[in-house]
Amino acid sequence: MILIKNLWKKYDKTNVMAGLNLEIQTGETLVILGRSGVGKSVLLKHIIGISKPDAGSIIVNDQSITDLSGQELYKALHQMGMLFQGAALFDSMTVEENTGFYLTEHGKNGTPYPQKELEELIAHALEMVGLAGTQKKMPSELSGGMRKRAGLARLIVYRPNILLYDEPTTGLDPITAMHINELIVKTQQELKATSVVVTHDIISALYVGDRLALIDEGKIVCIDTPDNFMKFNHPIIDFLRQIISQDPRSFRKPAS
Amino acid sequence: MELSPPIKEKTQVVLEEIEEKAFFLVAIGEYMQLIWAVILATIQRLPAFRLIRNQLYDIGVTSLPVVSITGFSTGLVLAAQSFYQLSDKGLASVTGIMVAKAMVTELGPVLTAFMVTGRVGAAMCAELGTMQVTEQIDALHTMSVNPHRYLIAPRFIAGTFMMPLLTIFSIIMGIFGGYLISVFFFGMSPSAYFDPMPEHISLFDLSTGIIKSYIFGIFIMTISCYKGLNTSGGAAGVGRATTNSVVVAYCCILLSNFFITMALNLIRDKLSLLLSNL
Repeated sequence: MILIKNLWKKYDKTNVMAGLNLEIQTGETLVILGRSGVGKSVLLKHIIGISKPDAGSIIVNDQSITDLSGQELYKALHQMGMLFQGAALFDSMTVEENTGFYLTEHGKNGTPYPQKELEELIAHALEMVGLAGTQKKMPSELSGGMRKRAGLARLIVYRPNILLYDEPTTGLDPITAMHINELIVKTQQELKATSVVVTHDIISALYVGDRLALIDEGKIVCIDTPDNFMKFNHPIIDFLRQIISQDPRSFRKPAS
Repeated sequence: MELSPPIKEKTQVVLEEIEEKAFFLVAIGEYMQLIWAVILATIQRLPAFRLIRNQLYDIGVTSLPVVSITGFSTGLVLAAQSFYQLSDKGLASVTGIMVAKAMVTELGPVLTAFMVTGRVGAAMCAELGTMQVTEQIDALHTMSVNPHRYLIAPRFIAGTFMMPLLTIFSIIMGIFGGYLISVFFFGMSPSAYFDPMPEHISLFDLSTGIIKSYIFGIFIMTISCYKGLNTSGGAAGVGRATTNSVVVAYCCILLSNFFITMALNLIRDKLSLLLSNL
Protein backbone atom coordinates (compact mmCIF):
# COMPACT_ATOMS: atom_id res chain seq x y z
CA MET A 1 0.00 0.00 0.00
CA ILE A 2 1.14 3.55 -0.72
CA LEU A 3 0.10 6.19 1.77
CA ILE A 4 0.71 9.85 1.06
CA LYS A 5 0.13 12.18 3.97
CA ASN A 6 -0.08 15.97 3.84
CA LEU A 7 2.48 16.40 1.04
CA TRP A 8 3.84 19.89 0.38
CA LYS A 9 6.25 20.90 -2.37
CA LYS A 10 7.16 24.34 -3.64
CA TYR A 11 8.83 25.09 -6.98
CA ASP A 12 9.72 28.67 -7.89
CA LYS A 13 7.55 30.09 -5.11
CA THR A 14 4.51 28.09 -6.28
CA ASN A 15 3.03 25.32 -4.19
CA VAL A 16 2.80 22.40 -6.62
CA MET A 17 1.74 20.11 -3.79
CA ALA A 18 -0.38 21.76 -1.12
CA GLY A 19 -1.20 19.22 1.55
CA LEU A 20 -1.90 16.31 -0.79
CA ASN A 21 -3.32 13.14 0.81
CA LEU A 22 -3.75 9.87 -1.07
CA GLU A 23 -4.07 6.17 -0.30
CA ILE A 24 -3.31 3.59 -2.98
CA GLN A 25 -4.36 0.03 -2.21
CA THR A 26 -2.14 -2.97 -2.90
CA GLY A 27 -2.83 -4.49 -6.32
CA GLU A 28 -5.01 -1.70 -7.63
CA THR A 29 -4.39 0.56 -10.63
CA LEU A 30 -4.92 4.17 -9.70
CA VAL A 31 -5.00 6.74 -12.48
CA ILE A 32 -4.14 10.32 -11.63
CA LEU A 33 -5.61 12.93 -13.94
CA GLY A 34 -5.09 16.65 -13.99
CA ARG A 35 -4.12 19.60 -16.17
CA SER A 36 -0.54 20.18 -17.27
CA GLY A 37 1.72 21.55 -14.55
CA VAL A 38 -0.44 20.56 -11.57
CA GLY A 39 2.26 18.22 -10.27
CA LYS A 40 1.20 14.77 -11.44
CA SER A 41 4.71 13.76 -12.54
CA VAL A 42 6.15 15.49 -9.48
CA LEU A 43 3.99 13.23 -7.32
CA LEU A 44 5.42 10.12 -9.03
CA LYS A 45 8.96 11.41 -8.51
CA HIS A 46 8.19 11.85 -4.82
CA ILE A 47 6.81 8.31 -4.53
CA ILE A 48 9.97 6.87 -6.06
CA GLY A 49 12.27 9.08 -3.99
CA ILE A 50 13.77 11.18 -6.80
CA SER A 51 12.35 14.35 -5.22
CA LYS A 52 12.00 15.13 -1.53
CA PRO A 53 8.92 16.98 -0.24
CA ASP A 54 9.08 20.21 1.76
CA ALA A 55 6.71 18.60 4.26
CA GLY A 56 4.62 15.45 4.60
CA SER A 57 5.41 11.80 4.19
CA ILE A 58 5.07 8.92 1.74
CA ILE A 59 4.80 5.45 3.19
CA VAL A 60 5.29 2.52 0.84
CA ASN A 61 4.55 -0.89 2.33
CA ASP A 62 5.04 0.42 5.89
CA GLN A 63 8.33 2.12 5.02
CA SER A 64 8.61 5.91 4.95
CA ILE A 65 10.29 6.68 1.61
CA THR A 66 10.64 10.35 2.53
CA ASP A 67 12.84 9.49 5.53
CA LEU A 68 15.15 7.20 3.58
CA SER A 69 18.35 8.18 1.81
CA GLY A 70 21.47 6.57 0.37
CA GLN A 71 21.73 2.79 0.52
CA GLU A 72 18.47 2.41 2.47
CA LEU A 73 16.52 4.24 -0.23
CA TYR A 74 18.12 2.21 -3.03
CA LYS A 75 17.23 -0.95 -1.11
CA ALA A 76 13.61 0.14 -0.82
CA LEU A 77 13.48 1.02 -4.52
CA HIS A 78 14.03 -2.59 -5.59
CA GLN A 79 10.30 -3.11 -5.23
CA MET A 80 9.43 -0.21 -7.56
CA GLY A 81 9.71 0.57 -11.24
CA MET A 82 8.81 3.58 -13.33
CA LEU A 83 7.98 4.06 -17.00
CA PHE A 84 9.04 7.56 -17.96
CA GLN A 85 7.23 9.87 -20.37
CA GLY A 86 10.02 9.62 -22.97
CA ALA A 87 10.80 6.01 -21.91
CA ALA A 88 14.28 7.16 -20.68
CA LEU A 89 16.07 4.30 -22.45
CA PHE A 90 19.87 4.51 -22.14
CA ASP A 91 20.77 5.63 -25.63
CA SER A 92 24.31 4.25 -25.51
CA MET A 93 22.93 0.72 -25.02
CA THR A 94 21.02 -1.71 -27.24
CA VAL A 95 17.43 -2.69 -26.49
CA GLU A 96 18.76 -5.94 -25.03
CA GLU A 97 21.19 -4.14 -22.70
CA ASN A 98 18.48 -1.69 -21.69
CA THR A 99 16.00 -4.45 -20.95
CA GLY A 100 18.48 -6.49 -18.94
CA PHE A 101 20.03 -3.49 -17.20
CA TYR A 102 18.55 -4.13 -13.75
CA LEU A 103 19.48 -7.81 -13.80
CA THR A 104 23.00 -7.11 -15.08
CA GLU A 105 23.61 -4.47 -12.43
CA HIS A 106 22.19 -6.34 -9.45
CA GLY A 107 22.97 -9.90 -10.49
CA LYS A 108 21.35 -12.98 -8.96
CA ASN A 109 21.99 -13.61 -5.25
CA GLY A 110 25.19 -11.57 -5.32
CA THR A 111 26.63 -13.25 -8.43
CA PRO A 112 26.43 -12.13 -12.08
CA TYR A 113 23.27 -13.29 -13.84
CA PRO A 114 23.85 -16.44 -15.94
CA GLN A 115 24.03 -15.26 -19.56
CA LYS A 116 21.59 -17.84 -20.94
CA GLU A 117 18.99 -17.16 -18.26
CA LEU A 118 19.43 -13.41 -18.77
CA GLU A 119 18.87 -13.72 -22.50
CA GLU A 120 15.75 -15.82 -21.95
CA LEU A 121 14.28 -13.32 -19.50
CA ILE A 122 15.00 -10.44 -21.87
CA ALA A 123 13.49 -12.32 -24.81
CA HIS A 124 10.36 -13.12 -22.76
CA ALA A 125 9.94 -9.49 -21.64
CA LEU A 126 10.41 -8.18 -25.17
CA GLU A 127 8.01 -10.76 -26.55
CA MET A 128 5.42 -9.74 -23.98
CA VAL A 129 5.51 -6.14 -25.22
CA GLY A 130 5.59 -7.18 -28.88
CA LEU A 131 9.22 -6.31 -29.52
CA ALA A 132 10.64 -9.79 -30.12
CA GLY A 133 13.75 -9.72 -32.30
CA THR A 134 14.67 -6.09 -31.57
CA GLN A 135 17.43 -7.05 -29.08
CA LYS A 136 20.28 -5.63 -31.13
CA LYS A 137 18.57 -2.37 -32.10
CA MET A 138 19.60 0.93 -30.59
CA PRO A 139 16.93 3.16 -28.97
CA SER A 140 17.45 5.74 -31.75
CA GLU A 141 16.22 3.15 -34.25
CA LEU A 142 12.88 2.74 -32.45
CA SER A 143 9.65 4.70 -32.91
CA GLY A 144 8.02 6.51 -29.95
CA GLY A 145 5.62 3.63 -29.27
CA MET A 146 8.39 1.04 -29.52
CA ARG A 147 10.52 3.02 -27.08
CA LYS A 148 7.66 3.07 -24.57
CA ARG A 149 7.22 -0.68 -25.00
CA ALA A 150 10.96 -1.25 -24.55
CA GLY A 151 10.77 0.88 -21.39
CA LEU A 152 7.95 -1.34 -20.17
CA ALA A 153 9.97 -4.48 -20.97
CA ARG A 154 12.78 -3.05 -18.82
CA LEU A 155 10.32 -3.00 -15.91
CA ILE A 156 8.66 -6.34 -16.57
CA VAL A 157 12.00 -8.14 -16.54
CA TYR A 158 12.60 -7.49 -12.84
CA ARG A 159 8.97 -7.80 -11.75
CA PRO A 160 8.58 -4.88 -9.31
CA ASN A 161 5.60 -4.81 -6.92
CA ILE A 162 4.86 -1.18 -7.61
CA LEU A 163 4.70 0.27 -11.12
CA LEU A 164 4.57 3.98 -11.85
CA TYR A 165 3.64 5.19 -15.33
CA ASP A 166 4.29 8.80 -16.32
CA GLU A 167 2.06 9.76 -19.27
CA PRO A 168 2.37 6.35 -20.96
CA THR A 169 0.25 7.25 -24.00
CA THR A 170 1.26 10.87 -24.56
CA GLY A 171 2.47 11.60 -28.08
CA LEU A 172 1.31 8.28 -29.50
CA ASP A 173 -1.24 7.61 -32.22
CA PRO A 174 -4.58 6.21 -30.95
CA ILE A 175 -3.84 2.64 -32.06
CA THR A 176 -0.40 2.53 -30.41
CA ALA A 177 -1.87 4.28 -27.35
CA MET A 178 -4.49 1.53 -27.04
CA HIS A 179 -1.74 -1.09 -27.40
CA ILE A 180 0.12 0.52 -24.50
CA ASN A 181 -3.10 0.56 -22.45
CA GLU A 182 -3.54 -3.16 -23.10
CA LEU A 183 0.05 -3.75 -22.06
CA ILE A 184 -0.45 -1.84 -18.80
CA VAL A 185 -3.45 -4.04 -17.97
CA LYS A 186 -1.60 -7.21 -19.05
CA THR A 187 1.48 -6.27 -16.98
CA GLN A 188 -0.66 -5.49 -13.96
CA GLN A 189 -2.41 -8.85 -14.27
CA GLU A 190 0.84 -10.77 -14.72
CA LEU A 191 2.82 -9.07 -11.95
CA LYS A 192 -0.14 -8.45 -9.61
CA ALA A 193 1.48 -5.10 -8.99
CA THR A 194 0.18 -1.87 -7.55
CA SER A 195 0.11 0.60 -10.43
CA VAL A 196 -0.06 4.38 -10.48
CA VAL A 197 -0.71 5.91 -13.89
CA VAL A 198 -0.40 9.62 -14.51
CA THR A 199 -2.11 10.75 -17.69
CA HIS A 200 -4.11 13.43 -19.53
CA ASP A 201 -5.73 10.77 -21.65
CA ILE A 202 -9.24 10.09 -20.32
CA ILE A 203 -9.75 7.08 -22.60
CA SER A 204 -6.55 5.52 -21.29
CA ALA A 205 -7.61 6.37 -17.72
CA LEU A 206 -11.00 4.71 -18.09
CA TYR A 207 -9.42 1.67 -19.76
CA VAL A 208 -6.69 0.90 -17.23
CA GLY A 209 -7.89 2.42 -13.96
CA ASP A 210 -9.55 0.65 -11.04
CA ARG A 211 -9.89 4.10 -9.49
CA LEU A 212 -9.42 7.57 -10.93
CA ALA A 213 -8.15 10.62 -9.02
CA LEU A 214 -8.08 14.26 -10.04
CA ILE A 215 -5.35 16.65 -8.89
CA ASP A 216 -6.10 20.34 -8.80
CA GLU A 217 -4.32 23.13 -6.93
CA GLY A 218 -1.92 20.70 -5.28
CA LYS A 219 -4.59 18.42 -3.80
CA ILE A 220 -6.65 15.41 -4.75
CA VAL A 221 -10.08 16.90 -5.37
CA CYS A 222 -11.92 13.68 -6.17
CA ILE A 223 -11.10 9.99 -6.23
CA ASP A 224 -13.41 7.09 -7.05
CA THR A 225 -14.13 4.19 -9.40
CA PRO A 226 -14.31 5.20 -13.09
CA ASP A 227 -18.14 5.22 -13.13
CA ASN A 228 -18.50 7.31 -9.99
CA PHE A 229 -15.56 9.55 -10.92
CA MET A 230 -17.26 10.58 -14.14
CA LYS A 231 -20.36 11.63 -12.16
CA PHE A 232 -18.42 14.11 -9.99
CA ASN A 233 -19.34 17.75 -10.25
CA HIS A 234 -16.09 19.52 -11.13
CA PRO A 235 -15.30 21.75 -14.14
CA ILE A 236 -12.50 19.47 -15.37
CA ILE A 237 -14.63 16.34 -15.06
CA ASP A 238 -17.54 18.16 -16.75
CA PHE A 239 -15.18 18.88 -19.64
CA LEU A 240 -13.93 15.27 -19.77
CA ARG A 241 -17.54 14.04 -19.77
CA GLN A 242 -18.33 16.38 -22.61
CA ILE A 243 -15.34 15.15 -24.64
CA ILE A 244 -16.09 11.45 -24.38
CA SER A 245 -19.82 11.85 -24.97
CA GLN A 246 -19.51 14.15 -27.97
CA ASP A 247 -19.84 13.11 -31.58
CA PRO A 248 -16.30 13.29 -33.07
CA ARG A 249 -17.74 15.15 -36.07
CA SER A 250 -18.51 18.06 -33.76
CA PHE A 251 -14.75 18.62 -33.23
CA ARG A 252 -14.49 21.02 -36.12
CA LYS A 253 -13.13 24.53 -36.22
CA PRO A 254 -15.88 27.16 -36.10
CA ALA A 255 -17.13 28.21 -39.54
CA SER A 256 -15.73 31.59 -40.53
CA MET B 1 12.55 23.80 19.02
CA GLU B 2 9.51 23.83 16.72
CA LEU B 3 8.88 27.25 15.16
CA SER B 4 5.34 28.59 14.90
CA PRO B 5 3.94 28.64 11.30
CA PRO B 6 4.26 32.43 10.63
CA ILE B 7 7.90 32.46 11.84
CA LYS B 8 8.60 29.29 9.86
CA GLU B 9 7.12 30.89 6.72
CA LYS B 10 9.13 34.07 7.27
CA THR B 11 12.34 32.10 7.87
CA GLN B 12 11.67 30.19 4.65
CA VAL B 13 11.26 33.45 2.70
CA VAL B 14 14.47 34.89 4.15
CA LEU B 15 16.34 31.67 3.34
CA GLU B 16 15.04 31.72 -0.23
CA GLU B 17 16.16 35.34 -0.64
CA ILE B 18 19.63 34.51 0.67
CA GLU B 19 19.75 31.53 -1.70
CA GLU B 20 18.84 33.76 -4.66
CA LYS B 21 21.44 36.39 -3.83
CA ALA B 22 24.21 34.02 -2.88
CA PHE B 23 23.73 31.66 -5.84
CA PHE B 24 27.50 31.40 -6.24
CA LEU B 25 27.89 30.06 -2.70
CA VAL B 26 24.95 27.72 -3.27
CA ALA B 27 26.67 26.36 -6.40
CA ILE B 28 29.91 25.80 -4.48
CA GLY B 29 27.95 24.04 -1.74
CA GLU B 30 26.22 21.78 -4.28
CA TYR B 31 29.56 21.10 -5.98
CA MET B 32 31.14 20.05 -2.68
CA GLN B 33 28.08 17.91 -1.93
CA LEU B 34 28.52 16.14 -5.26
CA ILE B 35 32.19 15.42 -4.52
CA TRP B 36 31.24 14.07 -1.09
CA ALA B 37 28.45 11.91 -2.56
CA VAL B 38 30.87 10.46 -5.14
CA ILE B 39 33.51 9.71 -2.47
CA LEU B 40 30.86 8.12 -0.23
CA ALA B 41 29.40 6.00 -3.06
CA THR B 42 32.90 4.86 -4.06
CA ILE B 43 33.87 3.95 -0.49
CA GLN B 44 30.64 2.00 0.05
CA ARG B 45 31.23 -0.06 -3.08
CA LEU B 46 33.76 0.42 -5.85
CA PRO B 47 32.26 0.97 -9.32
CA ALA B 48 32.44 -2.00 -11.67
CA PHE B 49 35.87 -2.37 -13.27
CA ARG B 50 34.42 -2.42 -16.81
CA LEU B 51 33.00 1.09 -16.22
CA ILE B 52 36.41 2.40 -15.09
CA ARG B 53 38.15 0.61 -17.98
CA ASN B 54 35.79 2.21 -20.53
CA GLN B 55 36.48 5.65 -19.08
CA LEU B 56 40.23 5.04 -18.96
CA TYR B 57 40.05 4.32 -22.68
CA ASP B 58 37.76 7.26 -23.49
CA ILE B 59 39.71 9.78 -21.42
CA GLY B 60 43.24 8.45 -21.86
CA VAL B 61 43.73 6.54 -25.08
CA THR B 62 41.45 8.63 -27.30
CA SER B 63 43.03 11.85 -26.01
CA LEU B 64 46.55 10.78 -26.96
CA PRO B 65 46.54 12.21 -30.53
CA VAL B 66 45.34 15.67 -29.52
CA VAL B 67 47.65 15.78 -26.49
CA SER B 68 50.59 14.69 -28.65
CA ILE B 69 49.95 17.36 -31.28
CA THR B 70 49.58 20.04 -28.59
CA GLY B 71 52.76 19.02 -26.76
CA PHE B 72 54.76 18.55 -29.94
CA SER B 73 53.78 21.88 -31.53
CA THR B 74 54.34 23.74 -28.26
CA GLY B 75 57.83 22.20 -28.03
CA LEU B 76 58.57 23.29 -31.60
CA VAL B 77 57.49 26.87 -30.98
CA LEU B 78 59.21 27.08 -27.60
CA ALA B 79 62.51 25.88 -29.04
CA ALA B 80 62.25 28.22 -32.04
CA GLN B 81 61.42 31.25 -29.90
CA SER B 82 64.12 30.44 -27.36
CA PHE B 83 66.71 30.00 -30.07
CA TYR B 84 65.82 33.21 -31.92
CA GLN B 85 65.60 35.29 -28.73
CA LEU B 86 68.74 33.92 -27.09
CA SER B 87 71.21 33.01 -29.85
CA ASP B 88 72.32 36.61 -30.52
CA LYS B 89 73.12 36.92 -26.80
CA GLY B 90 75.19 33.76 -26.94
CA LEU B 91 72.68 31.76 -24.94
CA ALA B 92 71.52 29.30 -27.61
CA SER B 93 72.76 26.43 -25.46
CA VAL B 94 69.94 26.96 -22.94
CA THR B 95 67.27 26.17 -25.55
CA GLY B 96 66.86 22.61 -24.28
CA ILE B 97 66.54 23.75 -20.67
CA MET B 98 64.00 26.42 -21.62
CA VAL B 99 61.84 23.91 -23.47
CA ALA B 100 62.07 21.23 -20.80
CA LYS B 101 61.53 23.58 -17.85
CA ALA B 102 58.53 25.31 -19.44
CA MET B 103 57.00 22.03 -20.57
CA VAL B 104 57.50 20.24 -17.26
CA THR B 105 56.34 22.95 -14.87
CA GLU B 106 53.78 24.99 -16.79
CA LEU B 107 52.88 24.32 -20.39
CA GLY B 108 52.68 20.54 -20.21
CA PRO B 109 50.13 20.41 -17.36
CA VAL B 110 48.14 23.50 -18.42
CA LEU B 111 47.88 22.73 -22.14
CA THR B 112 47.07 19.07 -21.50
CA ALA B 113 44.38 20.17 -19.06
CA PHE B 114 42.96 22.56 -21.68
CA MET B 115 42.90 19.84 -24.30
CA VAL B 116 41.27 17.32 -21.96
CA THR B 117 38.70 19.93 -20.90
CA GLY B 118 37.79 20.67 -24.51
CA ARG B 119 37.78 17.09 -25.69
CA VAL B 120 36.72 15.01 -22.71
CA GLY B 121 35.16 17.45 -20.21
CA ALA B 122 32.80 19.02 -22.76
CA ALA B 123 31.71 15.62 -24.09
CA MET B 124 31.21 14.34 -20.56
CA CYS B 125 29.10 17.34 -19.58
CA ALA B 126 27.00 17.08 -22.76
CA GLU B 127 26.47 13.34 -22.26
CA LEU B 128 25.44 13.66 -18.62
CA GLY B 129 23.35 16.75 -19.43
CA THR B 130 21.46 14.86 -22.14
CA MET B 131 20.95 11.94 -19.77
CA GLN B 132 19.62 14.38 -17.19
CA VAL B 133 17.11 16.14 -19.47
CA THR B 134 15.89 12.85 -20.95
CA GLU B 135 15.39 11.39 -17.45
CA GLN B 136 17.97 8.63 -17.98
CA ILE B 137 19.64 9.54 -14.67
CA ASP B 138 16.26 9.32 -12.92
CA ALA B 139 15.78 5.93 -14.59
CA LEU B 140 19.05 4.72 -13.06
CA HIS B 141 17.83 5.85 -9.66
CA THR B 142 14.48 4.06 -10.06
CA MET B 143 16.36 0.83 -10.81
CA SER B 144 18.27 1.16 -7.52
CA VAL B 145 21.49 2.15 -9.25
CA ASN B 146 23.35 5.03 -7.61
CA PRO B 147 24.15 7.51 -10.45
CA HIS B 148 27.11 8.81 -8.45
CA ARG B 149 28.68 5.36 -8.38
CA TYR B 150 27.61 4.30 -11.86
CA LEU B 151 28.27 7.51 -13.81
CA ILE B 152 30.48 9.89 -11.85
CA ALA B 153 32.89 7.71 -9.87
CA PRO B 154 34.33 5.86 -12.92
CA ARG B 155 34.87 9.18 -14.72
CA PHE B 156 36.47 10.71 -11.64
CA ILE B 157 38.79 7.75 -11.00
CA ALA B 158 39.79 7.40 -14.67
CA GLY B 159 40.20 11.16 -15.17
CA THR B 160 42.42 11.76 -12.16
CA PHE B 161 44.50 8.68 -13.03
CA MET B 162 44.91 9.56 -16.69
CA MET B 163 45.67 13.28 -16.40
CA PRO B 164 49.22 12.87 -14.99
CA LEU B 165 49.97 10.19 -17.61
CA LEU B 166 48.71 12.39 -20.45
CA THR B 167 50.72 15.29 -19.06
CA ILE B 168 53.91 13.22 -18.95
CA PHE B 169 53.23 12.16 -22.53
CA SER B 170 52.66 15.76 -23.59
CA ILE B 171 55.93 16.84 -21.89
CA ILE B 172 57.87 14.10 -23.68
CA MET B 173 56.33 15.13 -27.01
CA GLY B 174 57.19 18.78 -26.31
CA ILE B 175 60.83 17.99 -25.50
CA PHE B 176 60.98 15.79 -28.58
CA GLY B 177 59.52 18.59 -30.76
CA GLY B 178 62.07 21.02 -29.34
CA TYR B 179 64.82 18.49 -30.03
CA LEU B 180 63.80 18.06 -33.69
CA ILE B 181 63.83 21.75 -34.52
CA SER B 182 66.93 22.54 -32.46
CA VAL B 183 69.01 19.75 -33.95
CA PHE B 184 67.72 19.50 -37.51
CA PHE B 185 66.89 23.15 -38.20
CA PHE B 186 69.15 25.21 -35.96
CA GLY B 187 72.04 22.75 -36.09
CA MET B 188 72.49 22.23 -32.36
CA SER B 189 74.11 18.99 -31.33
CA PRO B 190 71.84 16.50 -29.49
CA SER B 191 74.13 16.59 -26.48
CA ALA B 192 73.95 20.41 -26.31
CA TYR B 193 70.16 20.08 -26.23
CA PHE B 194 69.85 17.22 -23.73
CA ASP B 195 72.95 17.35 -21.52
CA PRO B 196 72.09 20.44 -19.40
CA MET B 197 68.59 19.09 -18.63
CA PRO B 198 69.35 16.70 -15.72
CA GLU B 199 71.24 19.47 -13.97
CA HIS B 200 68.47 22.05 -14.28
CA ILE B 201 65.29 20.00 -14.24
CA SER B 202 64.91 18.91 -10.65
CA LEU B 203 62.65 16.37 -9.00
CA PHE B 204 60.76 19.36 -7.63
CA ASP B 205 59.98 20.55 -11.19
CA LEU B 206 58.70 17.12 -12.14
CA SER B 207 56.61 16.89 -8.97
CA THR B 208 55.16 20.34 -9.68
CA GLY B 209 53.99 19.19 -13.11
CA ILE B 210 52.51 15.95 -11.80
CA ILE B 211 50.76 17.56 -8.82
CA LYS B 212 49.29 20.24 -11.06
CA SER B 213 48.03 17.72 -13.59
CA TYR B 214 46.41 15.66 -10.83
CA ILE B 215 44.61 18.71 -9.39
CA PHE B 216 43.56 19.87 -12.88
CA GLY B 217 42.17 16.38 -13.48
CA ILE B 218 40.05 16.66 -10.34
CA PHE B 219 38.74 20.06 -11.48
CA ILE B 220 37.93 18.93 -15.03
CA MET B 221 36.09 15.78 -14.00
CA THR B 222 34.12 17.25 -11.10
CA ILE B 223 33.14 20.48 -12.88
CA SER B 224 32.04 18.66 -16.05
CA CYS B 225 30.03 16.14 -14.04
CA TYR B 226 28.52 18.79 -11.76
CA LYS B 227 27.43 20.93 -14.70
CA GLY B 228 26.12 17.88 -16.56
CA LEU B 229 24.07 16.63 -13.62
CA ASN B 230 22.58 20.08 -13.06
CA THR B 231 21.47 20.59 -16.64
CA SER B 232 17.91 21.68 -17.28
CA GLY B 233 16.04 23.18 -20.21
CA GLY B 234 16.34 20.67 -23.05
CA ALA B 235 18.86 20.89 -25.89
CA ALA B 236 19.56 24.59 -25.27
CA GLY B 237 20.23 23.76 -21.63
CA VAL B 238 22.73 21.07 -22.61
CA GLY B 239 24.56 23.59 -24.81
CA ARG B 240 24.62 26.17 -22.03
CA ALA B 241 25.84 23.65 -19.45
CA THR B 242 28.61 22.43 -21.76
CA THR B 243 29.84 25.96 -22.50
CA ASN B 244 29.70 26.82 -18.78
CA SER B 245 31.59 23.70 -17.79
CA VAL B 246 34.42 24.47 -20.23
CA VAL B 247 34.65 28.14 -19.20
CA VAL B 248 34.56 27.36 -15.46
CA ALA B 249 37.11 24.56 -15.84
CA TYR B 250 39.47 26.82 -17.84
CA CYS B 251 39.21 29.55 -15.17
CA CYS B 252 39.81 27.07 -12.36
CA ILE B 253 42.84 25.62 -14.17
CA LEU B 254 44.40 29.03 -14.77
CA LEU B 255 43.73 30.39 -11.29
CA SER B 256 44.70 27.23 -9.46
CA ASN B 257 47.87 27.00 -11.58
CA PHE B 258 49.07 30.28 -10.06
CA PHE B 259 48.19 29.26 -6.50
CA ILE B 260 49.74 25.80 -6.84
CA THR B 261 52.94 27.31 -8.28
CA MET B 262 53.16 29.78 -5.40
CA ALA B 263 52.28 27.23 -2.74
CA LEU B 264 54.74 24.59 -3.96
CA ASN B 265 57.58 27.10 -4.28
CA LEU B 266 56.90 28.50 -0.81
CA ILE B 267 56.85 24.98 0.63
CA ARG B 268 60.12 24.18 -1.13
CA ASP B 269 61.76 27.37 0.21
CA LYS B 270 60.59 26.64 3.74
CA LEU B 271 61.77 23.04 3.51
CA SER B 272 65.21 23.96 2.18
CA LEU B 273 65.53 26.56 4.95
CA LEU B 274 64.61 23.93 7.52
CA LEU B 275 67.03 21.40 6.05
CA SER B 276 69.89 23.90 5.91
CA ASN B 277 69.34 24.73 9.60
CA LEU B 278 69.52 21.10 10.63
